[in-house]
Amino acid sequence: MKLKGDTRFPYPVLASFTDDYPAAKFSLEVEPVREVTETGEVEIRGELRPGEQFLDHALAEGMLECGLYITCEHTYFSEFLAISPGNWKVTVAGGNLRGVVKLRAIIYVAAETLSVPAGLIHEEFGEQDFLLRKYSLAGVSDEFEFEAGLDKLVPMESVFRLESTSSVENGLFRVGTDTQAIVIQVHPTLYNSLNQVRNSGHGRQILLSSLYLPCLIEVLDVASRDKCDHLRWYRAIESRCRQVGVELDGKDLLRKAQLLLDCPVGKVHEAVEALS
Amino acid sequence: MSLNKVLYVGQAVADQLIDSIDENVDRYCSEGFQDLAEQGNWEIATNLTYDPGPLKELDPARTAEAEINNSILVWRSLSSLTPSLATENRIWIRFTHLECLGFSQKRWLEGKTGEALTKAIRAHFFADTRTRWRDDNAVSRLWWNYWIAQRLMPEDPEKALSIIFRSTDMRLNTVERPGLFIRPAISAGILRTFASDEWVLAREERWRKFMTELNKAGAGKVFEAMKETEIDQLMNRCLDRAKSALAP
Repeated sequence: MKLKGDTRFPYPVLASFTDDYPAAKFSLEVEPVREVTETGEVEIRGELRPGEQFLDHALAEGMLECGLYITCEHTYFSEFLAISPGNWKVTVAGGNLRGVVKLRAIIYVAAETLSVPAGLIHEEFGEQDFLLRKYSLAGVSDEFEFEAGLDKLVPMESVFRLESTSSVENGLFRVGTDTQAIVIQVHPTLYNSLNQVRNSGHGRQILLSSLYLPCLIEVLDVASRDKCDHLRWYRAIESRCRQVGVELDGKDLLRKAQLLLDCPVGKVHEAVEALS
Repeated sequence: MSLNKVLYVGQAVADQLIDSIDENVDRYCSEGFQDLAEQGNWEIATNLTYDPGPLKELDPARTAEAEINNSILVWRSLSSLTPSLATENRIWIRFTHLECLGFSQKRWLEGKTGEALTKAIRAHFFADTRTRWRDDNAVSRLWWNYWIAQRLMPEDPEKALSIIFRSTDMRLNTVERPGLFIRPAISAGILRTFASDEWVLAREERWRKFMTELNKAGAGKVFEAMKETEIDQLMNRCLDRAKSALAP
C-alpha cells in the first residue's frame, strides 16, 4: 500500500517507472513553492498532464479523478487533496510542515469500472481491453520534494563556532566536527582579530571566503564518510545540500562548498570596497 | 487557570547541553539546571501560551495507563503548539531540563548508571531528530502520542491511545511505522476496526495476519478517495479472512 518509485501493480498504471502505456507520459510540473513567512502558510501550484488521449477523455468525463499526496514525515502531515487535471493550486495551513515535503500526484478510477483499450497498454496485459475497478490507481507521477519552514534561511555560518585556544599556533586554525556546532579553534590573538573582522559591517563576506570556505571543504569530506545524524551541523549541511541540489558524496568538494556558501569569493570585492 | 508563555533555549545553550552530558550528570540526577538557566538565554519567548497545571500531574510510573494519562495531560497543557513547533528541539529541551525535570528524571533515569545513564539522558532530554521527538523525548513523545491519536480517531482520541498502547509492539507497528501509518485514511480505518472488534488485539499473531490480508486487499487502492463506510467494509473483510485463516 506504499507508493514508491519501484512499486509494480498487476494492472496498467501510467507512470515513468512502468512501461504500461508505451506511448504516454504522465507529467507533474510544480512551480516554486510560496511560503508566507508570517503565517507559515504554504501555497503549491502546478500543472498535471496525463498526456494520453483516452485518459484525458476519461478525466473530462469524470470516470477518472486526480489527487495530490502531500507528505511531511517530520510533522506526521499527510493529506490527499483533489486537484484538477491541467493547472492546480493547493494551500496548506501554517504550522503543519517543516523539513522535507514530498508531493506525488495520482489518477484513480472514480467510476464503477473503466475499460482501458488493449491497444493503449503494454502487450503483456493481453489482447482484451483491461477492466479497472473503482478506486484503482490508474496513474502515478514522479515524486517532487521541497523544504518547508524557516530552517533553510538560517545562514550557513551559524553551524560554526569560533573558539579561542592557545594550543593552536597563531595564524593557523583547526576544525573539530565531534560537537553539535563545527568548532573552529584559533589562537587567542587571531580569535580577537577575527572577531573584529566579523563585527565590522562587511567582514562577514571576507570570513566566508577566507575561513568558512576551507573549513566547509574539510567538513564536507567528513560528512561524506560518516553519516552523523546526531550532530546539528550535519543535519543543517545535509538540508542545505538538498536545497542547492548537491550530493554529500565526497566528490568535487571545492565547487560544492562554494555553492553551499552562495559563491562567497565573488562577493569579496564588495566587502573590500566598503572597507576601503 | 493561569497561562505561561512557551519558552525555548538559545541554540548555543542547546548545543552546549548536548555536548556536555557527562559534565552535567549530577544536574540531571539531582541538582537541576536552575543555576545554568539563570546565566541566560534559556528564556526565549514564543507567542504561544500553555497551562503549566497539567504538567505537574505527570506520573512517572512505567505503565501503559500512565503513558495514556500523561499524553492527555501534556495535550491539555500544550495543545497550542503546532506540529512544526512540536519538532523544535529547543522547546523540548526547556521543558525536560526545567519545568518537567522531576518527571523526566523519575521516568527515564532512575536506576541507571554509567553509560546507560548518559544514553538515557541523550535519548529522553533532547528532541533533535524525528525519532527523538516522536518516540524518545520524555515530554514531546507524549505530545505526539496524543496528536497522532487525535488525527487517527478525532471523535475519540483516548480510545485510539488505549489501542496504540495495548502493547509495545502495537505502538511500534503504528506510530513508529509512518510509511503505512502516515496515511490517515488507512490507519484510521485500522483503528476503527480494532475499536469495534478487539479479537485482533488479543494476540500479535492475529494483528500480523490481519495486516497481511489488508496488504493483499488494499494493494493499489486509493483509500483516500473511498467513503469511511467503504473502508470499514474492506477492513472487516480482511478481519474475517484473518479469523478464518487462524481458526482452529
